[in-house]
Amino acid sequence: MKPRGHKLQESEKDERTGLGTGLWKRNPIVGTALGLCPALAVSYRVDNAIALGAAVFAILLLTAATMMPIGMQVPLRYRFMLQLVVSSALAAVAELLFQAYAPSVASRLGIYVPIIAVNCLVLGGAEHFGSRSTWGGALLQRLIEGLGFFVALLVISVVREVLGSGTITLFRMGTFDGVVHVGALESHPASLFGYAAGALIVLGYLQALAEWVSRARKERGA
Amino acid sequence: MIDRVSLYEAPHVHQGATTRRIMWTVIATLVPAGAWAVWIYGWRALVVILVSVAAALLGELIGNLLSRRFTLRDGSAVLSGLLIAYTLPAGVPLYVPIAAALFAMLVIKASFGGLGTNWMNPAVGGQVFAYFSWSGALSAWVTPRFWPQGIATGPPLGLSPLEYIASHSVDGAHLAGKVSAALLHSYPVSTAAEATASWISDSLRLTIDPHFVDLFFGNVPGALGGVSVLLLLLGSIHLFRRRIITWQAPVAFLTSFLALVWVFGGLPANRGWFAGAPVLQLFSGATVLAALYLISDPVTTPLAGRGMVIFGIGTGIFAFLIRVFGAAGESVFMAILLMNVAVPAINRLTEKRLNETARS
Repeated sequence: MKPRGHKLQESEKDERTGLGTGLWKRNPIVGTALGLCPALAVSYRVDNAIALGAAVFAILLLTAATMMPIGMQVPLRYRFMLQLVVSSALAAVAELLFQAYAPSVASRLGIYVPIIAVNCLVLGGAEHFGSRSTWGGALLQRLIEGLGFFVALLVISVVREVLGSGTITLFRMGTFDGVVHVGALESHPASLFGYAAGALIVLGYLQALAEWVSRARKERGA
Repeated sequence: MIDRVSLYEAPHVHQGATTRRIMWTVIATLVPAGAWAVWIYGWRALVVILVSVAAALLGELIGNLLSRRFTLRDGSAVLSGLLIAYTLPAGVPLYVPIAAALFAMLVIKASFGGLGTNWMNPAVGGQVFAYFSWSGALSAWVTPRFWPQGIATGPPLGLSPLEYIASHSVDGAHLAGKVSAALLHSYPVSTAAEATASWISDSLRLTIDPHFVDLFFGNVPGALGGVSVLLLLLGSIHLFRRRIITWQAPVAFLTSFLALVWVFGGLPANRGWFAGAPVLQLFSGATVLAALYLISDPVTTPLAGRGMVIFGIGTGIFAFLIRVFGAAGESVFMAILLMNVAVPAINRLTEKRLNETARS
């Protein structure tokens, strides 16, 4: 087994930014394990996960887009603080939007929306940002990361909610009340998957799957 | 003689033939306790046991197919399934043993590489998984055969002794209440137990609460295999003689657990120091099953004797904390899981002390 640090360096050197590699290998949750705390805390319901995933995706992208034109004008050592101001502002906007249009989601997500401002994923972008040569490349990178975060969170939350509550909670649309019921599991769900322990178990399997896929791919390439 | 030497080296169980013999020996010594459960709780107990073992074998088979390493016949899956069933009540819905056994075999064991490489005790992990998922189903106790007939009108048909005491006190903090006689006085007791207790007090001049007699023989609503303290002790004698179980972990566990219960157990109920009820705690909540059979799993406990002592003491401390200050009667299982996490650290610690030159 290779130490984790070594693996990270290796993926850092890997300059390909293809969608597949980004979604698997550099996926924030299953690959580099960034932004885990909010992801695990809210992923017991699918609608939570969609809301948080969308918020992180939007803030990630908008922070990068805002920083691009002004970031280059600012000396490197102030760039980080500037980015923090931008992401905090965007997180505040996101929280107000949730409170206005989806108050129940806002109350469930609670602190996890404001702290997107200091999400490892968003902060990590500041480090990446300086090293990227082109704006387009950097933006694409953030896009893939945000998408990867969203997809991983969605997968975790679907598994957790189906096993842990026997439902899939989406959003109310017309006559659809937003809840998909999953058979007999609903009357006797394995509540463990609603707890943090269940989140970590599901995450572990997802990471193992990612590792397995990347290993299989490497073997095929070699 | 060779037999004995190889058995003593418990951590080396991943040698096929030896593993198989140890596992089947342990299973054989568990049979009396299970038979007792079937007798006093009825056929339903046997169904739970068989379903649990079958699910464990199925889980092991799936894990084996995935890893292409076949260990179905070594008995470890049967033992895990059996132990899971032994921690459940007879009236448990059957999806609980199925899910717990599959979870134990697939998530806890196969995911980490199968027998010998799992860091968590599969049976205990399966039990705790079931506890956190379906805690209500885990108190589906069945009234034992030898309870007096008239108790249907009495208090607590569906409660185990620990639950009964918990239900009786104020503020919900009293699991370890003073001398349990005070709290258990209205709890059902069999006439045989009363006769035995009075015989003991007449002939040996020892006053014994008849409830303890019922608890010791296993005539209360309880976990299938954990309920009969007597039969577990008898079964384990053979394991101690063959040194399949070493004395360190059980003794360290029971000493620390019971001492802590005795000293601090009365505090939550405002009864002051040295007022806990160690005998009650020893005989209930599957404490003896855990001490003899769960704590001695060779894979997930430390290698050296000194490590086993540390492991046992730690398990005792956590079991005491969770049972007396938490609410969970099944605290010993959670305590074992917590100490499973510490095993690599304990192994390192004891290794260095044994061999100073190995320090790097």
